Amino acid sequence: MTTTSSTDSEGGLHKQYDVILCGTGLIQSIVASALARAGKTVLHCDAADYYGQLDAVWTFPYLQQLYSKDENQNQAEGSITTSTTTTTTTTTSTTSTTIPDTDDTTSCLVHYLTTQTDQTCLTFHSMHTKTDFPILHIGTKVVTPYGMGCIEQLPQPPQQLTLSIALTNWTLTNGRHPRLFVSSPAAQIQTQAQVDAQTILQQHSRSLAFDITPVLVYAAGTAVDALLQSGVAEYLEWKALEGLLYLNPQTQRLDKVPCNKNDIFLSPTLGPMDKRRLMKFLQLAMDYYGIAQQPQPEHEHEQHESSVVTSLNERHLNQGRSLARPQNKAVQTSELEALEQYMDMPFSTYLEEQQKLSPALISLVRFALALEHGDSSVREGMRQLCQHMGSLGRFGTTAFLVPLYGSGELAQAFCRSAAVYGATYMLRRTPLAVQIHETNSRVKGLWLAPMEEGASPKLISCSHVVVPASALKSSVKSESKVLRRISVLRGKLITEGQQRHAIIIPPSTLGSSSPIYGLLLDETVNIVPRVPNGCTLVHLTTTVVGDGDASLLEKALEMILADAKNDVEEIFQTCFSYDLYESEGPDSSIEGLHQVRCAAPGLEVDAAFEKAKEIFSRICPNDEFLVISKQLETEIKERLGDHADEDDDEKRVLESAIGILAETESKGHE
Amino acid sequence: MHGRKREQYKALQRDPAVVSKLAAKAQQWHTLVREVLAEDSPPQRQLALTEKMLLVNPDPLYLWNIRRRVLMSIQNEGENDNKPTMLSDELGFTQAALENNPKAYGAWLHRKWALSSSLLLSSSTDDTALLENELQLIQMFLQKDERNFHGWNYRRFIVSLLLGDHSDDTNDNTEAFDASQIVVTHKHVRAPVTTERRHEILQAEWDFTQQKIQENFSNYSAIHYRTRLFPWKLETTPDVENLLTEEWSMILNAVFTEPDDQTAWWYAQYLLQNGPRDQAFYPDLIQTQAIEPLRELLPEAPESKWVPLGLYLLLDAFPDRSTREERQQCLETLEIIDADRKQRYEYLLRKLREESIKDV
Repeated sequence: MTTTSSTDSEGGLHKQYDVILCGTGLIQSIVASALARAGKTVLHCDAADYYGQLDAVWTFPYLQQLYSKDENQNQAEGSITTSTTTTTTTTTSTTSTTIPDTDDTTSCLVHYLTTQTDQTCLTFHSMHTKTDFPILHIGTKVVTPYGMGCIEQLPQPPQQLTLSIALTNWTLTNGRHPRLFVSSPAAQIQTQAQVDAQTILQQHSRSLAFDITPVLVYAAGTAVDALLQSGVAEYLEWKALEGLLYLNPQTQRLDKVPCNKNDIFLSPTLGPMDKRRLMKFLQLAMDYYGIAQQPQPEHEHEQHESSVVTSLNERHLNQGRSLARPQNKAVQTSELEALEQYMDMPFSTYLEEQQKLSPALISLVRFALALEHGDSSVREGMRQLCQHMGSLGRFGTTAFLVPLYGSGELAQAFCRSAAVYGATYMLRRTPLAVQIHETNSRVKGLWLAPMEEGASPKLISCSHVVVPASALKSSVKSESKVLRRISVLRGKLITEGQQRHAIIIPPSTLGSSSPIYGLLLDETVNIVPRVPNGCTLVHLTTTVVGDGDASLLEKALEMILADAKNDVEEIFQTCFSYDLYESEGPDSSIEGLHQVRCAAPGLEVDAAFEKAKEIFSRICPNDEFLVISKQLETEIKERLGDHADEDDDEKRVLESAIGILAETESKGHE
Repeated sequence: MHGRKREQYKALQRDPAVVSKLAAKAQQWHTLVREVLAEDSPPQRQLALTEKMLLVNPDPLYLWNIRRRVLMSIQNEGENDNKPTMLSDELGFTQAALENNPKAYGAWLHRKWALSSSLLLSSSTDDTALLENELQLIQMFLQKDERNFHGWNYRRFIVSLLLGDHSDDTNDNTEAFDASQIVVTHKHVRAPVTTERRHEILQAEWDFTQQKIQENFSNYSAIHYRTRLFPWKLETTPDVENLLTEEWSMILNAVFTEPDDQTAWWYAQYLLQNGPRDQAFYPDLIQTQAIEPLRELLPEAPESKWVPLGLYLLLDAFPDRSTREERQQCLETLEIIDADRKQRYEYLLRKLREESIKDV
């Protein structure tokens, strides 16, 4: 594929590419993979030394290092700067950012890019490792040289540090625990909480990984289709999300989100009339979903293939299907017609006026079932609701999948697949500026920072550049920001079964402007350490207007912990925010310049795939998105072979029975 | 199999590749059937061939009969040593056959025979474990298909064996008939258990139906089993009022979730007829727990025939002058939304009129 004539002297770079992508965030990575498949020459570069930008996964030591750097900078300069230091490498190199003086640079034909790194995009609000565990009291579990114990008595006054400890690891013949009287300075007594915290944060810090943007994927949707169709799914492993929870604004408790007929039947918080109205509305949504799917008959076949029945149970079949009406009940076409009329009405108004749902139920439908971020129309709300309902029962009990090795894997997997199709990857190369054509406003090339110190930047020609909106100086920041808090808890919130749960906190619960999305993970996902008393990684995300209230997520966590029945405590937390950008930038007039904008984060990542598809089809309007090449497809088929005949048990058994006949016959002849 | 479209299944059978494969199998099958049915077929070979054939297709009863006849003749003439293992092999074999087709009558019947025979043979000390193992297995089968009535029937058969009698409410006559055709009668198989143990077993069964209904309330089989256990439950529960409040609240939750699901209505009718009608609290309980909520539901579910019908049946169970007009309205609504059964509703309306004439 590489022709030496066009190869540059430096690092095997071509002089000319079809597309250069800056930043290895998820959207760019998907676009890169799709472009490489469509036969475009692709250069994908990133200033950092890791893949994924804000879609990356960071280790605990890295996060701490980053925070202390951020803090130092804050102290030194009073604010976060957009200096040219690449904070990722240990040797901070001051690369020359001056682009050689030509006529172009003096005119407006060069669009300088901000060289801020992903880390400086983040504004840290807090990072705290808990060391001050509560004062010793009766019942506190402690660790002594003689084994685990718990404090039975605190002498008065407490300054006298004589503690009576029951050694719970030992049992006397009378059934009691032996007692140990220790006289030691309180500072030397280690509580269970301290031991847990040390185990998690020190001994196992390497198996703790922080997704900067945690993602879930709908079990049926754009993302899963793209992953399967492209073969990228081969690089990744997933587990089903175990439960979808909802922090009820009335009771301030976590409830299971009723997603199917049986959840509704069993729900203790819904009154009988609520059950009827919710069920009726969801049935209408399923009818609407059925109609929305009908106009694509060629798609229907595919649907059948993917939903091959492996279980005989209605419960295990598509759970969304359990919402469908019983066979004796006809579809109410009049209601569907009525729904069509209200398509542009606000969703909440529709639910209130037309479906007569109670305020609590409206909040449940909007935020936990339709996963609405803000105010949306009936059309958008119904689309989201159908997407959720349509993904139920495909894998596990919820509509969602969790990546087994962290969400950062996703961007990496797409980069890897792009490389397989011939894309060139360069980390630690900072894109400096976009060069525009003299005569027409078309992209001409991209200036890259040099490899060695002191060398001059290099212009690589290309016809398309894909950059994150945050890199363009002319981009307009949106009023809203993404606020995220990552906490590590000792112990588990959910002890029954595996803990992979999503939590939705509707705006009314805490008075937030957007819903808060939470994710609880335990060691069944490989980014959480396996420790004796369990450990929980909590992600909380919301969108705030302006600077927002950073303590919002702290309150959310407190509320979640208040509902916990177990011994659970936060031992580490960090809270940060980053900017969102307005959907239309002033540079959109330049042909060939494509901007990547992250949408306000929801619970799932389908939107990123839709964005990527949009950018891809602007560059390659006539090509299919993320298709696996025919050659690769046949190779995979050959490798797997045709085992259809070997799977036929009936044939094998019948043949062996015929074999018995032949055997006895031959014996008879002898 | 639930959830599979008939056309798709039929279309598959029209595929020439599939047809030729099936034809080859049919050819082999016929050869085997001829061999097994031949009068001079040696018993050992019949045993070996039926094993293979029943794994492929566990439906034909004649194959099971041949197999059973061979096994019984071996049992009667041979030494006693390997009888129990032979029968427990049959349990493993029928399980494999049932995994292939969980609704094969012959396989279930054969399993009942093998189990009762091995209980007769074995020393009585360890058979509780064997039966409890069977319950576990049935639970697994019901996990795969919660509405497999064979599984539910077999469960009742096992429970009646566990209890050591078959005259209780959990066992219907046909069930005893089935088993007694093959075994002498399973009354002789085990001695009755103590009353305490009996309650324990039945309570576990009651809880099992509860669990199954909670997993999916649209499960006739589970509700049916619950109705078989209900008389025992009613007799042994100290707080009958609480029991019935809970049962009616379950019905109401199901009805409000899906008024057109007949399962809950079916249970409602059962409770109406078999509840403690002689006790004073019962009409009041039905009034507050069922009739009043249904009156509220009526305008919410105008398309559903079961709401007015259910309301009519409840009101009619405790006929009263004051509700006569309401009952009439229900029937008149039903005549419109369920026109297929118009004659029935007209008959009920006539009866209602006769009732009012009598009053006058």
